[in-house]
Amino acid sequence: MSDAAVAAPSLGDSSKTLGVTDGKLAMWIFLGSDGMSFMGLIAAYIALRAGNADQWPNPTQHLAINLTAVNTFVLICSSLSMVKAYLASVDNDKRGITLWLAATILGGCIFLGIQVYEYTHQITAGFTVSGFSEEWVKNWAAANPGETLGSSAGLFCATFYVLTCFHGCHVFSGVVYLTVVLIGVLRNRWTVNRLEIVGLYWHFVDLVWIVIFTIVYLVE
Amino acid sequence: MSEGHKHPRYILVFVWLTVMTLLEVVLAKYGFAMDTDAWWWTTVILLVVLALAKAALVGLYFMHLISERVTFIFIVCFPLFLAVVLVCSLIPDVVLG
Repeated sequence: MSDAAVAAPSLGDSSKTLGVTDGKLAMWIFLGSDGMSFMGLIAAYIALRAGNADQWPNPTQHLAINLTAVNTFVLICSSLSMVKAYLASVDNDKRGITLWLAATILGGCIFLGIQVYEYTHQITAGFTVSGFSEEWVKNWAAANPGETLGSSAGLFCATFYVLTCFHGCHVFSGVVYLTVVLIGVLRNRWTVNRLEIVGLYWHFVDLVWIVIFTIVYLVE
Repeated sequence: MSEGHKHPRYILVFVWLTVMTLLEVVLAKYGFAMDTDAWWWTTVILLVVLALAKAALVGLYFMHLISERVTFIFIVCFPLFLAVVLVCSLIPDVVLG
């Protein structure tokens, strides 16, 4: 058997379609379909909210906007560290890749930690998937005298948790994916293409959060 | 690929993303406090424009779409077009109840 016949294939860098590697094209196709899933949920949120505009609770009175803004900043920082990891791979700098990938993973973990804290605080205080508890409504009424709580609170709570939790699951998947890639880097099994592909996934998660943050948290 | 040594654009994109996020929070806090329909619509439109600008920065620079072929960009952006169609197709149902 000749050497060429037994040579192992490279790690996905060789084959190209439309000027990009097959792996990168596959990730883009996945992100396109995943983006449609997110848009379905966001469209449902917008339609439900617009259809119940007068009865929709004011999100800023129930959600921790400042804390979530910090979380958004954390995700933006992790996107920058992901780009730095990619640039380190272009420069063949293994130490740089390791450090920046670890920083990206840390960013993802901080984001998830803050989200879990937010959920825990809300659920224990009575803001659950099925709606607001009597205690939550009582506390809200004391803090907002003279205002009426919309009757679509159940819809608001359900759509809020479905949308943000669906995104949170993506962040968790991203952290696992990044960890697998980091282990590969530590074992000297990495390519620029592989770093770029995991980067695409991570930036997509950031991009979707930018939209969710505006639509769900900021618009009163 | 030696061009990987200098990439000041990424830091600039990061700064812009941070500034726009801060701007969004401030705008939401004071824009909605005005309590008139005109201000409400203005604030919502500005927030959506800022969110789309941030998403575009991430897509174009962090995801390198700006340096891809036009055909590839078209294929990638086609689901976005479908998403806009999806949202627009819901408008009659929302408006007419």
